[in-house]
Amino acid sequence: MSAFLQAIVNGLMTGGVYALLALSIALIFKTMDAVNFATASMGAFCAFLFFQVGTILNLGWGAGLAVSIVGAVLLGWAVERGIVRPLGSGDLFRLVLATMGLDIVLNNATQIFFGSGVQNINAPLPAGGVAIAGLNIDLTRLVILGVAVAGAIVLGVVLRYSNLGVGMRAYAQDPQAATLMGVPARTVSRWTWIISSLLGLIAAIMVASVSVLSVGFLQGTFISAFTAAVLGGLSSLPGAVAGGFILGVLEALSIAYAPRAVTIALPVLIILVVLLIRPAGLFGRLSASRA
Amino acid sequence: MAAETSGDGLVLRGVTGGYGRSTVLHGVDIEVRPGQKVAILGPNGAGKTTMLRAVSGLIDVRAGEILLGGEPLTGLRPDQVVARGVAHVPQGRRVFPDFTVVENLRAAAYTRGGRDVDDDIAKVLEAFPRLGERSGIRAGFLSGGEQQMLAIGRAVVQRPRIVLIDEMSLGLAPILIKELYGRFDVLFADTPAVIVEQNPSVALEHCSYVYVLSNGQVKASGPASEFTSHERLMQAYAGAVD
Repeated sequence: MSAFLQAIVNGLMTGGVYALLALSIALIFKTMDAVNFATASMGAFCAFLFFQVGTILNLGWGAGLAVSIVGAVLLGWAVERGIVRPLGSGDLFRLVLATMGLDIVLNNATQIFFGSGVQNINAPLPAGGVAIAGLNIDLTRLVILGVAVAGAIVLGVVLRYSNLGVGMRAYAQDPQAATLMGVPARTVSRWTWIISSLLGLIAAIMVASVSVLSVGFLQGTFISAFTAAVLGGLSSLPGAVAGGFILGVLEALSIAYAPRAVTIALPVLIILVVLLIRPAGLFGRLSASRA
Repeated sequence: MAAETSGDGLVLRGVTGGYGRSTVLHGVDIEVRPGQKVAILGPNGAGKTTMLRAVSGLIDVRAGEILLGGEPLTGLRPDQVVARGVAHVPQGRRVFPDFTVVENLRAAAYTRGGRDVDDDIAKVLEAFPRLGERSGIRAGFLSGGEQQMLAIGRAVVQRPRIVLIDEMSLGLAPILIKELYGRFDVLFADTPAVIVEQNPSVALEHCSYVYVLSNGQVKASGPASEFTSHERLMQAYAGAVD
């Protein structure tokens, strides 16, 4: 029993990061109808900035955070301005392909700027564990869960109560009607990419804190987050969060009770099952093509 | 409502445009005087909706100009046109289905912002009691008539200098059409409006001037009283079909 509960707890703590990166994916899908396959490399590049400035240049975590946030905002802005907008709203497949190309470019840029080695980093997070009711709780992972939950809440508040957020949600439902309410399509597109980039940065820093920093270190998490987003319905933000936690728990359970092969194949299996049984995901809706 | 803004007129001069390579409007000339309600009539595919879309910046205007209160709207993006004071109630209502009634109205205040948005929302819910009763319900669950009320309500919240309204009566019961137009007349008493209608008798009742559009051109125009005779309207339409 306690092994079961331990697996659930571990799963929830991993699920937080999946949820955060799934939000990054779902936010873009909701407004753009396209999956950003450069999600991982964008976040990873900015996480490199964070750790490079923070530890390697030894300028302190505050400086690292400031530089990486500026980097993530600029990167999101540049991708929207330089790739998304020029491609226009015609064939969405072009945008998806472009993000795949961007992924390759950014991974190579990361390698050029930061080297191809593997860096073990000392994250500025508390270490050690505490035992509560016979369950072992890793402090680092607990903080990561807290950051992920806080990030999701901040996003929710911004989308719900800010003028920009209302505009973004209106645009996601009916771009043309939103435009007629005065919501500028460019502003929505720009901030969608910037916010998505920031979510990717936070997720990437969290993942690097409990693993290593190397080119492509976020790719595995991206597969999980993408699965979580599909599970939640791809365009549903609450769905992305729920999907993240569900996947985290399923993964932890499979580690505890199933052969290793199952754990590795779990995301693919889940995508397969979702597509077969409930293609709209848990929270999504099948949409007829937009009028 | 907007008594201070009734000094605005809308002028279209030789407006030519369409979708992609196909030209729908071939030199349209229309004038809406301050405070005037103008009906745009005409058969299906005449370019009535396209004309409104040209004003709103939703399609490119290739030639001609569009002026609001003497200032050009031509070439502006849709959100900029909204900021200049044009409210466009599109065909098919296009309410935000996942937003509640109140959220839909709040979204309409995106450009103007301000503190007195709540007053306008209250005004809309008062003018349309059925919306008031359903203020917390998602717009996707409203009936067609209620959605049309909401679409008009959004235009009220926008506090426009001019209203463009496309096929308000489409698919609605006659009694509902009467109610909607009655409310519209009150809510936008001093605001000029361009009313696109497939139902001529309704439009003639509520507008003072009429343009008949066909094949992307103005085929006839005049005071509404001139068109009230069935014969005259048929002539205009017949000329239009030519």
